[in-house]
Order: sequence, then C-alpha cells, then structure tokens
Amino acid sequence: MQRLLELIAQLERRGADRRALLETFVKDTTFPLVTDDHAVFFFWDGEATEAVFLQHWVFGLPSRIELRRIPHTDAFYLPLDLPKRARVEYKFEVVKHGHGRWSADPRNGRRAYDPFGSNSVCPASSYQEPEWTVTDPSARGGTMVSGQVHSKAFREDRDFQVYVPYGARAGKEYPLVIVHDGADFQNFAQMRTCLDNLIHRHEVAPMLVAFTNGVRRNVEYAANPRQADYLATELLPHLRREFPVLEGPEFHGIMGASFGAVSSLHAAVKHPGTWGRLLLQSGSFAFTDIGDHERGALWDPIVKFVNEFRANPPKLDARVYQSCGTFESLIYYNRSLFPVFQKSAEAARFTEVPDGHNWINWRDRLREGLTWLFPGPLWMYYE
Amino acid sequence: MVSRTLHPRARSANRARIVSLTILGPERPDGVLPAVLARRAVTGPVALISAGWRYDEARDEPLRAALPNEVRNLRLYDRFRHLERDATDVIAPYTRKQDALRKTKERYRLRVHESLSIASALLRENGDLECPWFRQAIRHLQEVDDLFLAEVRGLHDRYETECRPGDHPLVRRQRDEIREQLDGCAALLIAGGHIGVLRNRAFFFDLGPLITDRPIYAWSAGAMLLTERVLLYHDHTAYGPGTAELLDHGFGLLRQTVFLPHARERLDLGDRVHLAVLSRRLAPRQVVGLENGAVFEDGRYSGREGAAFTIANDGSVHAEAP
Repeated sequence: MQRLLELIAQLERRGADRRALLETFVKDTTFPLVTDDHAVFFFWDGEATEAVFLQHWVFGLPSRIELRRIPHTDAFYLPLDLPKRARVEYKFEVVKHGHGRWSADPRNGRRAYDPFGSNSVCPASSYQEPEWTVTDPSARGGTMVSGQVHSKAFREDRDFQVYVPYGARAGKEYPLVIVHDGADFQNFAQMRTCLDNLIHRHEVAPMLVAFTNGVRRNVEYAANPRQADYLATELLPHLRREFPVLEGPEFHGIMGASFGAVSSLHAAVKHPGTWGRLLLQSGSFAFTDIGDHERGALWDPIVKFVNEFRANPPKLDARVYQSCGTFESLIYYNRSLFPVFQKSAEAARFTEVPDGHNWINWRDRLREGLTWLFPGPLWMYYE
Repeated sequence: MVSRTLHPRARSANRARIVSLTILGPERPDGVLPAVLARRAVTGPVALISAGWRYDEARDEPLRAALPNEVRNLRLYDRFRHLERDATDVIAPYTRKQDALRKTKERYRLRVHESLSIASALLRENGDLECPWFRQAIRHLQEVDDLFLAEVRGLHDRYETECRPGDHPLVRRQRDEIREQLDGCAALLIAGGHIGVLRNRAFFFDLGPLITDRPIYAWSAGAMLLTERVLLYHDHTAYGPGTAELLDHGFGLLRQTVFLPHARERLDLGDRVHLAVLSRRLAPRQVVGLENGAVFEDGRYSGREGAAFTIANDGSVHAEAP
C-alpha cells in the first residue's frame, strides 16, 4: 500500500508526467499488491475508463465493489484486508463508453480455471500452494482405464475412468472412491497429480478412483434417487466385477463438491451400508427452518432431502469428511450440518478455510480428506 | 553431554558376538553404501533383506548395479507370502496374534496420546525441565511405553510357545534356505522401507541368531530393526504432529539408541519442547536422527557432517561430525 500511496502523491504533483509514472509503476510491480494479509487491487490499461468494479465470489462482501479512481488519471485501486491464508478469485468489470465488460485482471498472471473459463487469483501472502498438488518427478503415476456401464436407472450408457495406482498387483485388492464431476476434478483440481503424490508419499492408501460425470448433471446430482440407485446398484457392482475392489463399505468411498457432495450424501442415505467413506466438499446442503428457500426449482429436491435429513438423521455407517470455504454462501448450511454428522456418522471431521466455491479450494482439501478416510502407511515407511 | 558414539550390545557368553555393525542414513538420493563397502573391503557375496520394500522386494536391480558384489536377496516377503498360502496352520494363529497386537496398540494409543499431551503441556507451561510435575509426566509416559512393550512381548512369546512355527516343516525349510543363502556371504545388507513388514518378517524367520556372525550394513528402517525399540513418528501429517508411538522391539543389537531416519523431514526440529519431551521419554537411550550420508561404523561416526544428529534431553540438536 505504501508504494501506491507514494505513486498517488507523485501523480498529484503539478506538472507530473502521469503516464510515464504509471508506466514505470506497472512495469515494476506485481499485482495485486499484497503485503502480509493486505491486498490492493489495481487497474490501469492506459485508456479512458469510466469505472472499474471488483467482481468476486466472497460471501459477506458486497458482490460488486467499485475501485477508487486515482485523481487526474484512468487508474483505479481498491485496498482489501484478507484473512490469513485466504485466496480470493475475482474478475474486473471495466466500464468504458457506458458499457461494462468482465475480464481477468490483465496485470495478474495467476489464474484459476473452472468449466466456465478462468478467474484471477489474489492469495494472501500467508497462503501457500500445497507442494503435493504439483507434479513430483519422483512420484510414479497411476494409469487411467476408461470404461462404460449400461444404466437401467438412466436408460443409457454411462462412461467412467478409473485411476489405477502405480504398482497395482494382480491378486491384490484396493479401496475404491467414486468421484462426482470426475473430469472437472481431473482438469481443474489436478486430482490425478494429487493422487500420484499422496500415494507415492504413503499418505494415502493405494486406491482405485472412479471418475464419473453427470449427463444432466444438476438434475442428477440434486438428491436424485436415480443417481443414488445408479451408483449403488449399477456402477459399484460393475466396478467390483471389473476391478480389484476390496469388499466392505469401509473400502467404498464416494465424494463430490457442491451438488456432487449432495449426491454423495444422498447416495449414502438411500443405500445404507454401501458407502462407508464420504468426502463432501462445499456441499450445497440448503435447507429451510421456515419459509421458502428462494434458490429456484432445481434446489427443491435438495432442500426437501436436507430438511428430512436434519429432522430425522439416519444412522450413517460412514466416516464423513466435510469441508467448506468461509467465503461461500453455503458455509451456514455446512456449519449447521456438521453437528448432525457428528451424531449420525461413525466419525466426522469438518474443515473451514478462507476460500471460495472453487476447484482450488477443493484440490487443497484432498490431502486432509483422503488421508483421514483412507490413510496410507506413512508412519511405517523409512526408506 | 551428547555421546558421539553408538553402543553395540555388550559381548557376553550368552549372547551372539556381533562381528561388525554399520548404520547408514536413508540411501536416497545418493547412496553411500557402495563406497562404504569398498572402504571396508567387502568383496564377497552379500545377502540382502529388502522385505521392507514389500511387493517391490525383488526390485533390487539398482542396488545390484551399484555394487560389484554378488547380491543374494533373502526374499523374506516372498517366502512369507508362500507360507500364507501353504502353511495356514501356522499363519492362522499368526494372524490372530497380529489382531491381538492391533487391539493392544489401540489401548496404547489412547494412553500414550494423553500422556504425551500432558508432558508437553507441562513443559510448555513453565519451561522447567526439572519441574516435578513434568518429570512425573515423563515417568508415566515411559511406563506406558514399557507396559505396551511388555504386552507385545507377551503376545509374541505366547505365539512362539504355543504354535512353535520353527517346528513346521515348511517354515523350517524356509529358515534352512535362508541359512544356506547366508552361508558364505561376506556381509548382510538390511534395506529400509516399511518397518512393520520388515520387522515382522525378520522376526518370523527368526533371523536374530543368524545375522550376527557377519558384518551388517543397515539403513533407515533396517537400522531401526537393529535397535531395542522402534519408534514411529511424523510431525508433518495433514493434521499436524502425530503422536509418536512405539512399534515393537527390534533385535536389540544396538543398545541405548533410537534411530529416527528422515528426521529433518519428519520431525519439527524448531519445537524444542517437543524434542525435549521426545528425548526424555526415550532416555536413557540416545535419540539419533539419520539423513542421507550418515554412516556409523561400529559406533564411530564417519559420515557426512550433519547427516546424523542427536537430540539432547533439553531438546537441543547436535550434529555429528566425522
């Protein structure tokens, strides 16, 4: 912030060559300016600009925050305090000639990707990208096997991919985890790399991971009985026939984020004794205590399911790992559900982090979730 | 005062004579074993125990390529797998013993976690290593460890007495083959890996009496196997420092020593209270961290400076130097 204040002071001097000062500033600066846990967002593209807004996904802040203009210039800035270890994904809405246009921060190379494109990323200086999310040349990679199963529930064939850990041996069986939004978990949360690393480091047990995808995703994942039946009575038996999957619910995990977490929980409730390990990230566990939920018809079955789950929690013969970002609107629902899991599940853990509803948040929680649900022999290895 | 030497078990009439014992740190990324063997003029065939590599036990090509010696892999992991298939009358009670060990371990964990937390909290509270409450907490922690080891030893002894696996023809044949493989070997190499598997296989095949009549070169988990007690530890798990716990007895060829391979990676060396509690808990044994490049030859340090270090009972760390 100090550097920006010095710039503003220089820009305000009479006769200052403002363009030259700004060009020098942007050339020598990494944006946003982050000092400790304080960020300053900055925009200047050298062109006439009417206004700039910070568009972000931080629940609790106004969803659209106007940047302040530096007097006598078309440069804008916005200071923002960040919680420790926070990550904020954002875009700028830049208004020119009366029209606003969303774009990534042109001066920030850090991007996070999702199925809709990418966002700029502003991490607090105390945030560190976990090293186990980055390709480790010494970690031997698992292989992917593509497959297909015919689903009577959906009346069509369903594709999947199965991650087989490096060194898997004939005659040996492994735990299995089924992943909702599997392609996105691979593409945007680097889940294959994470699995390679965590298994290589003995933190997670060698396991089979089935990456699945919804076809009419939002409908299928919204506490849909067809999806629950498909997972328990079609996909799981098929995978057990085709792959060396250990027998017993303690070796059968199911996971997902957002609606995928809802589908995972719903599957466990609808088919008790099938799924013994649940990894639920940023679950869209909307419920009502009174009145309507006002989230749209798509959410109706979810709200109905979660309301029933809260009113009469069934015994969950499962370990439940739950996580949610504190910047998500879903944090309230997740916090409310955790005590229910504590009572109804075999064991439950909940992690809150200062991050949003995004794939990097979900990636960064994989170690905690998987090591707790499927711990590897880390303590035993001294190579 | 930190000792600069390790203590091989005293020679006595009723104990096997240890010819020579060389302890190495982790052999990755740069193995020092070939140079050490060359320096010690070990030219004949060498036996290898790599059961800690589990199903990769036979993948010893890199080691064979690095050594001029003939390498005879004793294949303990593989031998045991055959017995699992063919000697179920021995393996079934063995499995029951392992289940009983797990239950004992669960009780131990309940106790040791609490005891360790109390000792650490007391020392953090006032920093006084001589505080009677802290000293009592350490004594209690040691009692918990001793109780666990006593129960575990009882389970092992009962299995040996009741089942007498050495009398089973298939087990006897395997042990004879191991003895034959060892005969004529100039040295025994014990590799690291999964200490639980390594320890269990080595004890199942009763290697203790067989291994002491030739020089031993052991690294990482292999080094842990030769001590009196094996400590499992890791401070950098997904949930922070775990509760260090004993696995079991080792062969006890090295007295008064607990090895911590990969200690710089696994231990929070910046937490002096944590280290002081660890050191006092294991006292009078010396706590020795082993890194790549560490070499103790018959107790004397000859490895790279700083690749081994001891943790004193005040939590201070002292690097070894040749």
